[in-house]
Amino acid sequence: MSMLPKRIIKETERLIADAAPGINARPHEENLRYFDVDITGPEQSPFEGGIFKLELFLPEEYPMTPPKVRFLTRIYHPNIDKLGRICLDILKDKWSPALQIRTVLLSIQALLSAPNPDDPLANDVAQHWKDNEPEAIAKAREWTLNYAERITPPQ
Amino acid sequence: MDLNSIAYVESVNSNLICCICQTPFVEPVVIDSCGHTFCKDCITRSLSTRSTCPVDRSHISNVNELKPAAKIIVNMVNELLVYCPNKNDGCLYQGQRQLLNFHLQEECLFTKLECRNEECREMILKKDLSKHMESCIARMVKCESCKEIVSLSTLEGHKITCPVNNIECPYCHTTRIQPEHTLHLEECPDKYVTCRHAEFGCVWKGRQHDLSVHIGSCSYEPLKEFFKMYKQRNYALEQENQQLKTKFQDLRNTVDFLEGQVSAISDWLSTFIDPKGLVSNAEGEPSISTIHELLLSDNDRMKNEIENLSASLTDLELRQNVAIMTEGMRMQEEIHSIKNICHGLRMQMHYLLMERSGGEPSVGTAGPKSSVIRPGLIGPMGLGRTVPPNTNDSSSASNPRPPRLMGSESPRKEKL
Repeated sequence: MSMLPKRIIKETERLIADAAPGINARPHEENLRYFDVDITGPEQSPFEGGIFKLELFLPEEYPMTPPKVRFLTRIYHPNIDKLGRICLDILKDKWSPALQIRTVLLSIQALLSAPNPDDPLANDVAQHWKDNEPEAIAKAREWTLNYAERITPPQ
Repeated sequence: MDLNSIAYVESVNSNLICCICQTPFVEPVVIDSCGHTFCKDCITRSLSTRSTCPVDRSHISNVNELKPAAKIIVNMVNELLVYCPNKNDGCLYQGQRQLLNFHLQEECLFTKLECRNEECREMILKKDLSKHMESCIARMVKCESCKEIVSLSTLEGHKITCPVNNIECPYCHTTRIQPEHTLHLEECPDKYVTCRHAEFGCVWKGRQHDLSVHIGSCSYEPLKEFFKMYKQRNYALEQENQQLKTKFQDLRNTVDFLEGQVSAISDWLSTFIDPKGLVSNAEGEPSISTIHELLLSDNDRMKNEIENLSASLTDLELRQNVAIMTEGMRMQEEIHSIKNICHGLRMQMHYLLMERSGGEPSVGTAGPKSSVIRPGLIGPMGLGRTVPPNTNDSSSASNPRPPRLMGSESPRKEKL
């Protein structure tokens, strides 16, 4: 494996030292390009109260190509399919090398707050959302309770 | 030197940080249309994948839209204080980023340089390089055999393949290193050898590995014990012959020495002996025996003569003694007769005197005194007359001696 670029080192340092609220990312010890990410479900969203696990991998060409991010925790979201793949433009054609891990994760967090059923990845979920949003939100909340890790109440 | 990975002494103003590499600009360029600044390398790579500004996604039609950033930006990043990249190895340098290259190339002793030895290529701190070169396991050394320069690590292998050390066997055409080669030359099965009984007359010749087959059928083989004995005896005889040769040589030397001495003696003798006689001798060489015989015969002859002389000497002595005795006797008789005559005369005188004293006694006394003296004077006169015939006789008897002596000496002289 080639030497880790200065940028990745810097980003990692900053992710740990100055973590964005509700976002926790830690690199694997054996592969510093591979991160375990926890995103706390945003308030006022059907994902509130759950901690969602994601994996993030920085390809060799990063930052010229976007990082690869996938939900590991099952989530009922119109832009996230059952394999955890995320439909987010900055992770695809709208990627810019000026973006960082931190900004990507903040975008994903934002996506949880604002599902976009018009640009779906999981067609059935999107349709459910369009047809009956309250029911879909209820299901999402249910899934959050079932699959996401519970936030331990502060002692 | 990758300036994107160096460490800065102070925290850098975020406006000087490239949003792609997240480090202070290196060769900053600005996109003409939107005015965003990036490192030249970063934006070039980004544009190769996506033709938009990484910050605002505005379209960039071609690379020509990139312009060098304002001088002030360039200066600001160039003057940023940086640590030497070899800080972890011990270099304490810090200075302006634009001077870093110079420091690394000229000053820094902690720069890692590649060992020049082909097989080592280890990265060594500049300060340790000279020390390393002396002990590098891949350093170049000279093969002592072929003088070729080879690396130390391959020297052992080289020695095996070294053309000087590797000698081809002239019989079986395999190659091996020197010490084995000498051994192999003796043992090579393809070596041409003669039968081990060749010295006794076997004419077989062939490769060493065929020798055992030949020995089985060699007609000399059953006789080998005899040959062995014969050879030993021959050897003993040769030895003996050699010993005799040396002994003979010794004797010859002694003879030469003696001959030299003899010739010296004969030279010396030739002053005493007539050289002509020696020359006239057989083959002109004066033989020692002839000289010896000559001397012996001379000696014998002289002995005889001396004996003769001594015999005649005793004879003469005897005769002389007899003559002396007879002479003495006669003299005694003569003396006796003279004594008697004297006595008669004295008696006569006495008588006469007596007669005279009877007539004239006084005159008589005076007369006899004078007459006594007179006969004394006459006596010797009478003696002198009688002796001469006797002396003449003795002299005539002794006279023949000298002529005889003369006769004995003269013949010897004649002979010599």
